[in-house]
Amino acid sequence: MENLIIEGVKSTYFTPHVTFNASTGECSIAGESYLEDTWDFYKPILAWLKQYTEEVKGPINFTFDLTYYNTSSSKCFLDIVKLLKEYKENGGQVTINWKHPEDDDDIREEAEDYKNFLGIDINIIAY
Amino acid sequence: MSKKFSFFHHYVNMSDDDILISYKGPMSDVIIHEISKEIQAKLAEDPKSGKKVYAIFIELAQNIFFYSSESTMLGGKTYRIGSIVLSQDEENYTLTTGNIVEKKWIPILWDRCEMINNADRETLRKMKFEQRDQGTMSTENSKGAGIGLIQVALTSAQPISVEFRDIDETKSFFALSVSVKKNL
Repeated sequence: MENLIIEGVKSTYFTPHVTFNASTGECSIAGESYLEDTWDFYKPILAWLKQYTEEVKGPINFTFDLTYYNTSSSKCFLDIVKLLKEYKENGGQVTINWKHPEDDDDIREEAEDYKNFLGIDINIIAY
Repeated sequence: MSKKFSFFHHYVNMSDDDILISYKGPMSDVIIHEISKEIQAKLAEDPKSGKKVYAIFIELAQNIFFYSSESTMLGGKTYRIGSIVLSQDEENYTLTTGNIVEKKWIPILWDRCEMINNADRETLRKMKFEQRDQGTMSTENSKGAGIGLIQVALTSAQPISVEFRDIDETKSFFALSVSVKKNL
């Protein structure tokens, strides 16, 4: 299985940097996420993760490292976290990290909500 | 469109407030981007509040971009029209957006804002999570996650104020205003 790498672009819209490594399971979404067609961007990302959990079946160390994202992006993050939760419940080895700028309470609160409402471990890391 | 736009009237009306940014017209993605850069630049000295104003602006501008019922054609593309104003007083930055909506949406918007204003923070967080969880984006008609207004209320941590004025049988003007405390 190939790695998934998408260079983040900052123009009229902002797409995040995506680096998913198929041999180590290190996955990260970093930067800013505000897109015209959010689903269009995140669909292949979810498809990659699904394929990894079905074919490679290796560990996943997933890191969200975003300084800004809009509510449509957050919907896709929820889909990702749910997929990771399902994988973990079926025996997969999953670690989720959520980094946020120290003074950004809004992102921290949201990470807490994913953790509490979904009942999954998330390491919330201020920097 | 034979009625002449009265700039004088417009200017006098707006002169009472300390306006940082004001725009009325087609809400294109380029305009949204430019205004968002302007917000970041103007509020750079107050980064925490500034980021909140920026995040709220994007959600409100996208509401106009996707849902305003007034539009214009430019270069073969349809652009939805709306208005957005960023003003300040000693304590707050205030974003106000205005756009035309179909009357049938008014009770829905009104109830939604009332519900948001009556809920405490914990309830809003739960509400946002549950609504985000409902339905997948791939099948949803809505372009966004449908939780923009709840996010706006959470980010601002102040009540949202809304106002409607009927324009004709089927359309109303919808104004929404929300503030962010300075120097958070």
